[in-house]
Amino acid sequence: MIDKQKITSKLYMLLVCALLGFAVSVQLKSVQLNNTSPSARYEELQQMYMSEQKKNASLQDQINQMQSTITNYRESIEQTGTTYIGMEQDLLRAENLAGLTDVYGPGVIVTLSDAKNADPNMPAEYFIIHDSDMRSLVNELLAAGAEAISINGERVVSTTAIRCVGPVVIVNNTRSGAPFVIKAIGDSAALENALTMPGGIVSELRNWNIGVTIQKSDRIDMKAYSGSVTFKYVTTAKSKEN
Amino acid sequence: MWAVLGLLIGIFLGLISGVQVPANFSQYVAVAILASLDSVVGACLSYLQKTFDSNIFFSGFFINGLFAAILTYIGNLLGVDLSLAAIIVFGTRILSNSAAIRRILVSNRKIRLKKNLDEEK
Repeated sequence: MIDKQKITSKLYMLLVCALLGFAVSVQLKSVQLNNTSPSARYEELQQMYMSEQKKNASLQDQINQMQSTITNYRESIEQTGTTYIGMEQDLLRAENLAGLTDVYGPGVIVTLSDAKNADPNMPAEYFIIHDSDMRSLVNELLAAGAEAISINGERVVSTTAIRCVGPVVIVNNTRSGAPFVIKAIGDSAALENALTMPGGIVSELRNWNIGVTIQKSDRIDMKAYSGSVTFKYVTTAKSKEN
Repeated sequence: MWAVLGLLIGIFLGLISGVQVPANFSQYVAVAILASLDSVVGACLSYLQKTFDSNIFFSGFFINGLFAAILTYIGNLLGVDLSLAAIIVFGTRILSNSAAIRRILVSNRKIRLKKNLDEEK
């Protein structure tokens, strides 16, 4: 009787200690897994970045596909009847206005680069290009009759925001750093004059040693706006009868 | 003897099994392990002192571990690191118990040596 009791209690002991050992080893394994070195963390971040980039690319593909279906629709409309030609022209005009088409034409190419020989006694932010500089430049170009503008390849459209986050400027949710290449299609002489007038934006930027070059061109090619165009809140009011 | 065997079996099972503690539970498991370890060391001491009671050991093993984990959880809810309390209490007890075990073992050995010497005489 006593022997039996002893054996069962010893078995219990065995079981309990096995449980403890199990817990210890499992915990040890998990802790080792979780305590990864910083370099491994960087690798993880890099992988996340890569996967995000892949996602971006696939979304871009989706946009391209949708745009091609739109083109298909338009072609089929063109083939079915001539009554749509007026609408077709309207659509093209609207798309040009909205920046949804690849366009080309004469204009100016403005290149902005951060000041090279900055005065070390002055705060550094005086010598870098800010989103406000870009905004006033774009505004000046529009005022001078620019019909299409792009910043580092990103088309400026009606919903485009230009803002800076840290050292980069974000245009259409795409970030890019200096130098900034701003292309504008329009009357190249008028555009250049608007920028270089005394007391104008270029002279102000050059005061701060910021590199500004303006180049007139007979043909500037500009890509279409590549972002999505969806309106959540805007509803078209009853359109006028043609 | 049985305890060591069980420990080895458990470690072996834990290593070969794919079970993992989720990162947000690892603190609780660690505290529970500490409490259980304290129970085992305490059991060894009481075994040597011949006051071992399996009921006390088993209940202490599970309930101390559970309580330590719950205490830590409550501490996390309140924003106080109560796992420190468990670590200090159980850590101190483990160390003092192991010191007591060592003392008993050394004195036992001395007694045995003395006995041997007496018999030789």
